[in-house]
Amino acid sequence: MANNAATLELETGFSKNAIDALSQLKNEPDWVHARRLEAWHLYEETPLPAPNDELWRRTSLADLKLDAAIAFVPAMNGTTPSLPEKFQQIANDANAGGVLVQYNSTGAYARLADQPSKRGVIFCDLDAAIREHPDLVKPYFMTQAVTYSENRYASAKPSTTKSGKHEGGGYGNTIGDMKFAALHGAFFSGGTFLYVPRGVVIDLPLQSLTYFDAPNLAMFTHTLIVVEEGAAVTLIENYASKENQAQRFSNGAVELILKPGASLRYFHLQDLARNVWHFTSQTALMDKDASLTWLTGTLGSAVTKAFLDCKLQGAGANAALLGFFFGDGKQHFDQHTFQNHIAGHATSDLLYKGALKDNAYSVFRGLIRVNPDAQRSDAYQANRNILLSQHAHADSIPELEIEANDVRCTHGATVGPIDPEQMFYLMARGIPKVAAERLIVEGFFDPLMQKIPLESIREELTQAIQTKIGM
Amino acid sequence: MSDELVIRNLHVQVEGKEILNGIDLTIRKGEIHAIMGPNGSGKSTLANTLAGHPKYQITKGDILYKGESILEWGADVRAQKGIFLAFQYPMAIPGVTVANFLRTALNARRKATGSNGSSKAISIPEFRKLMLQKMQLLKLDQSFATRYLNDGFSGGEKKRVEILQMAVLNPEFAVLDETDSGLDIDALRIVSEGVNALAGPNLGVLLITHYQRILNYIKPQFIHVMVGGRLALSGGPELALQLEEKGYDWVKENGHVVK
Repeated sequence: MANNAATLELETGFSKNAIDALSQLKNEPDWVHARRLEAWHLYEETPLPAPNDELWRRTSLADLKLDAAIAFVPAMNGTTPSLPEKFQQIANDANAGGVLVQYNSTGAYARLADQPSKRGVIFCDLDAAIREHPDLVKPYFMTQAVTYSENRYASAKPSTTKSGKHEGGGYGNTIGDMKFAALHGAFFSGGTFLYVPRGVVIDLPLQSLTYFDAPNLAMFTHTLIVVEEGAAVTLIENYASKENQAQRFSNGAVELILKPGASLRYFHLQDLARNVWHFTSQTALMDKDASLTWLTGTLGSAVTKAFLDCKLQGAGANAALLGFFFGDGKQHFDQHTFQNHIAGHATSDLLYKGALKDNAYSVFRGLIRVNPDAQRSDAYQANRNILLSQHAHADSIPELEIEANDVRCTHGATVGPIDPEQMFYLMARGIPKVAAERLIVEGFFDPLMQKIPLESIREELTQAIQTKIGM
Repeated sequence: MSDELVIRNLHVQVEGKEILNGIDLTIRKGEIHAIMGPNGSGKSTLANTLAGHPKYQITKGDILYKGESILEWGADVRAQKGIFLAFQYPMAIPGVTVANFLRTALNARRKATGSNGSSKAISIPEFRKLMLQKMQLLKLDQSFATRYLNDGFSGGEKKRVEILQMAVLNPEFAVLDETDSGLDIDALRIVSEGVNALAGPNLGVLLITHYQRILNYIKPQFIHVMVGGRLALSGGPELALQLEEKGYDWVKENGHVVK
């Protein structure tokens, strides 16, 4: 962090000038500045997704305001950030092997237990990683996983699904996530860097917390995790922000790099305030025999638009892709998952579960692609949605693009209210209607909650879900 | 009067179709009644109607519990006041453990029963002790406490867990809807012993069954035969044996309503 960061301010809006100022503020090396400019160039060349763009037509950008945003507000030097109480409790959880706290655009606090530290694990904010470990950041940072130079969705040609619902012709000239990944590449700040050296197995989960409250701040957090050969680690990330009237913009990226035999459990939990438009591009690269559990939890934001791409590049890779979401009010969640089988003999197993009440709307669009060479792939996908009000709505769109002939692939989607027979069963035991609904919805999410390895976070999530159910 | 369940001229429709055509039956505490009858005669409709399933519409008649009509009570209120239905097909509730479900149900019942001194929520250790004791009665392994309710249970396990619920909730009036169906002989014995252990002067039981088999284990004082949505024949325990011998067609030909 530059010494005088707190005293300088960026102009509002996104511009080349703002990038130059940001790089200067951070005192960044030239290569980082050059990459920002390259990304900015692409951002300017790429149009905003059109209303009829196949991957954007369910999320209108008409109300998105980018002009008033400020791309960078550093954490105050020398002061303790005023984190909400629930975050402080989570941050102090002794069962975590390390904690990173990001406040507004920069890292504010870092702790790593002795054991992982002595074994060469690096766990710090991305600005620090760029300064201190450029050789570890440079090869991976937006070069292989989340990139703004390749439109990975434009080439997709999913076949008609069993339900016959697909409009046909693939995604055509979709912008995919390029526009916002490029903007992210131009303005990223703070974020999490985690590096686990070869063969190092870390048992205690690590966690990072990101919180922002600065007016008009646009957030560009970037998570980069590199797990070397045979290494194993768990990271839990929580995102939250202060409730505020004005619209806010968050545009994050997550890159998960798993080398041969690496094992990663990654949890991405988002409970942002209801004024935030949250865009996120996340990609996992899985080498041979790598093992990944990747869970996303979406509770907050006004609008969430997520692209989650799992690239199985090595034989024997095994990915469990899990998600839960709970929308209320007018929340709008639009999530794309991509089980991208590049190498054969790999497994991906996806389960996304959502509950929606009030006027909430969710889209789950899950693409399974099996490349011609990816024989003996196993790809499974299930999306379950519970509608808790007549005005809530969920679209579930499984899409298959299978080009190999020796694969096992299943997909299933359900959308509907709580089963009235389940309700009757619980009520016939004396449990009132609202409590019965609550039990069923909590139970619906429980198998996913049980995956989360820190009890303090599990409790926090359970609380958040109970609040949403409204008791 | 006070400790009776009275079914009076009960007519019930399901999706516009009349299933029950005037049932009259009084069950006192301490009594065990069995309703037998062929498939489709309306036995399960009666069970679900008593428990308050919203799909079953009462078009005529009344159900009185301790002198009060229960027609306006929801399923939850009926259960809180001590009416219990052991389901023919218990629902799986994935994600909700047996223990969590039972404690929630027990606390709802305690809260509603109010003034009898047990209206406070049960403490977790006290609940655990109660549950484990009742699980022993049903020969259920302790591990069932943390399993998701009926999720992946065998037919016999589901029925044993139904009676476990009955044992924990301690109702005053229980309807057992084909609790014997789908049970092998060992499971039938365990379930029956469970019911017998709970039966007594403070419990009224309505046992609904297609087969005579369960009556080798549970001994009702009264047997009723349901045919075409009516109780066509009523009598003592000997009636079950007659039925076993002569079949339901005998009742259809010779039946008459006994009040």
